[in-house]
Amino acid sequence: MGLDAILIPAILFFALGVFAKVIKSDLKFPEGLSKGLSLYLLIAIGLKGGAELANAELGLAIKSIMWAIVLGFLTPIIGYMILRFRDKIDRMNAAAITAHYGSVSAGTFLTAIAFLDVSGIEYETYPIIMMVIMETPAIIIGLLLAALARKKLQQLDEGAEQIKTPWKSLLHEAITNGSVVLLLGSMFIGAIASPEAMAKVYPFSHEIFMGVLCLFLLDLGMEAARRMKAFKEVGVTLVAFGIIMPLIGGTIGMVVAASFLGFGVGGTLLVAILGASASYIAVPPAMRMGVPEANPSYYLTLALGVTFPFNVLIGIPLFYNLSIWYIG
Amino acid sequence: MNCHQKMIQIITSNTLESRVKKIFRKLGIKSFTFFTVNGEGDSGVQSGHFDADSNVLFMLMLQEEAMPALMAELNQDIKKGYHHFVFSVNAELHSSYKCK
Repeated sequence: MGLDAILIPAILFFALGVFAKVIKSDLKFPEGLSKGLSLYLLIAIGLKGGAELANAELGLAIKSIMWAIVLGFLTPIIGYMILRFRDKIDRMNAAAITAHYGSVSAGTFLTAIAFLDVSGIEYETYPIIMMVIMETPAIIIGLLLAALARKKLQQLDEGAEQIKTPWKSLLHEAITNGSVVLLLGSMFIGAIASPEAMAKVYPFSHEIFMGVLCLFLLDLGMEAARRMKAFKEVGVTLVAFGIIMPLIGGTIGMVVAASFLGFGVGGTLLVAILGASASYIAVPPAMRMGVPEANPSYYLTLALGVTFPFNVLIGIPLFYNLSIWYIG
Repeated sequence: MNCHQKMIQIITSNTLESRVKKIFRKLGIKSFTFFTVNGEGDSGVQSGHFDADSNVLFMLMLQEEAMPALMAELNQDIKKGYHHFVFSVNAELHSSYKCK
């Protein structure tokens, strides 16, 4: 699979968005449209996944959830150790940045689904529920790492300002986050609705999905290009981390999916992408609130300007080929 | 009847909106206006695409004597690293019922 792997409309629209910003086009989406598009995409994927999960094996679903929790906790710890190696990045920024890598990007995941659909490759639906689960553990780990770092800094500087982590409100926000509620709710609706009733919403949940994803990725392409301007500010170390970390997270995800969950190539690619992607919706607000010492420009630039384009253009075809090789 | 008060503007992250409102409640400030704004600054681009990169602008009128208490609360947050950008101007208030 060569260049044709990325020649699918959704990815090409992403590239168009980047190109539009590079040539300083005045192309602009109406305010609020991208939020509306992401709401639709979450509902569509939830309905689709829920309908299929209704016939899924309970044992494998539970196993997938357990592995999603492990991935959500493990990835940020590895990321933190890399960033803290030789004191390259300060503790607070390292904690906030790595929390993003333990969580997931729904946009990247949907692009991977589009890639599989267009290529006619079947995939398991368990990764959809794994995506929902993986939002929260990373936030907890990020806040824990920040709380430990803060304690350390306070020991070093007794006059430092004491910050109490608002655990209760942050965890409440992480669990009741709009995208989590919408995705879980849509999955539940998809699972309990009768097949006849689901057939009525088929055009909504399936037929227009790819078109809406194209619009969504066009917008994200423009947003990613806007973030790329901040590369100078974040520095070479962080930009390199934004490329290395998805390779590590994706490889772990691939091994988990293929070796421990027994998924096929499609499902393995989806779990690899969950491991490789970085959140830009659920985690940034939690880090802004819980780790105010960290610079939001760093984690947003990394998640949107580096890792998202890397995964869309390189990560998806790369992990697809790696999955074929690994599964054999 | 006109009167003079301080017009305070606070630009902060959308995610800190409830934190600022909590401070207002604590100080008994019941009237304020806020709206979503975009921009660029210390926290990078605030394009309004996502919750974490959206800002809100609070506008409120306060009597000068009430300013120090508000600033003390906001400064506590600022010391912790929360990015509240606060500024004020002397303003003439024309809605007489607000002058009480």
